[in-house]
Amino acid sequence: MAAGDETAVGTLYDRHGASIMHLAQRILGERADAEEVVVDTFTQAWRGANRFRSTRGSVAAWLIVIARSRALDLARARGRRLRLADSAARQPPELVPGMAQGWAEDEPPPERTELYRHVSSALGALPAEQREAIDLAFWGGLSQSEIADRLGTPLGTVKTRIRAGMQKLRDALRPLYSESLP
Amino acid sequence: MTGSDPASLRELAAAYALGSLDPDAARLVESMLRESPDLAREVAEYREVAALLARGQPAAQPDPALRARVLERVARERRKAAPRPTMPPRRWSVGLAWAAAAMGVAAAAIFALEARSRSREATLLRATLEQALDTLAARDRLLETLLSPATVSFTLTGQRAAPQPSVAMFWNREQNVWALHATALSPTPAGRAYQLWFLRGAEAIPAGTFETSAEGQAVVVGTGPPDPRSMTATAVTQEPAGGSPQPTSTPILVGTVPQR
Repeated sequence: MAAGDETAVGTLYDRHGASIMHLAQRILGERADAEEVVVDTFTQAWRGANRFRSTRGSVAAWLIVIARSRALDLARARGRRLRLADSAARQPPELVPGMAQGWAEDEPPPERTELYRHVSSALGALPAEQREAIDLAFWGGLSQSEIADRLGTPLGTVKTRIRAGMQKLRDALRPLYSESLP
Repeated sequence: MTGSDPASLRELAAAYALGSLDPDAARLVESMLRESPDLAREVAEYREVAALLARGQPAAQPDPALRARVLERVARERRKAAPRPTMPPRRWSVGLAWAAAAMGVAAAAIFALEARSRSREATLLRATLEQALDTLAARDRLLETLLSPATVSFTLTGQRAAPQPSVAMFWNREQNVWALHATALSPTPAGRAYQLWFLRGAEAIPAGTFETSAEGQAVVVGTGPPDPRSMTATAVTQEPAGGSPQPTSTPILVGTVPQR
């Protein structure tokens, strides 16, 4: 019974599981914690499926909001967030296919390769300080004031960097998401 | 803090979507999302951008065992959630779509479609899927209710027309939820409908009206009358379309409720 629910969750997982695992692992560092976040994310998505509204965005964005907030909560609970903010601003961890322990050696599907190309070229086009502020916010889970403290930069400057950087990303990436929004 | 006029709020949208606003500012944005469609749209766009930061990474497929863990946890949650008696009262659903498996296939098709072409069609289908998942969850709960040991099942039969119409009745009297499945019950003439009754001796308690398909089929779900254990029988009559407070015609089908 309820094979339908599980099929739907399975399909969601097949499509988005890898991104969510990557997100969680990059925020948390520990693989076991990251896996727990993945399991929690899909469970919460299953529970909240009837609250999801496609008019407010894509399934992917919805799942990532859930996953990121769970990962950051866990990082906070582990007292790990600030330390991770350092590495967040530097580089993604060694999540190249096959390198990290315990990851299957599959090639990422072509669709993801395509996304990767677009996103890294959009990020590459940003001035370094805009990119740094966005990375600290998204991957490090820092607020704008925390970023300002951390970088020793005025708060207003941080706000401007984030806003300007996100605007550029939006313009560059719009073709990738415009059909997801009404 | 930034003022709350729409233009300056929109300046906050990017940071809000990144989750980097300070709590006061975040609450302000949240409170304005409903009132300002422009702001909501802006936030939705930046959320997609933020999601792409995560999705556009060279991530490999996780350990296959993780998929099994996800599905296993969802199955466990579902078992925990199952016995909730949450059928919406007096909501009459007619149809034969008990097709849980088919629903799953629909979900798979939609996500596959979304993967190939980010088309408007996918967006529409997704909206349909939300509904379907909702319906499916309600159906699952109903099935759990009806398959419980507290459920009695019996048949309402008639003497008249051939082929013989019948109504199979499943009634969980603990949760007081019932479902009936009618077969070979000819559609009523225009302006008329079938009505179900619960009988306590000579007293008839109305339980709503339904119509059958061209093939004479119907599946109807509802909540039962107060004090379900005192009901001795159920009956179906033909009534004016809106239903009657008391039967105005001889029952077409009658069935005794097993007393256990």
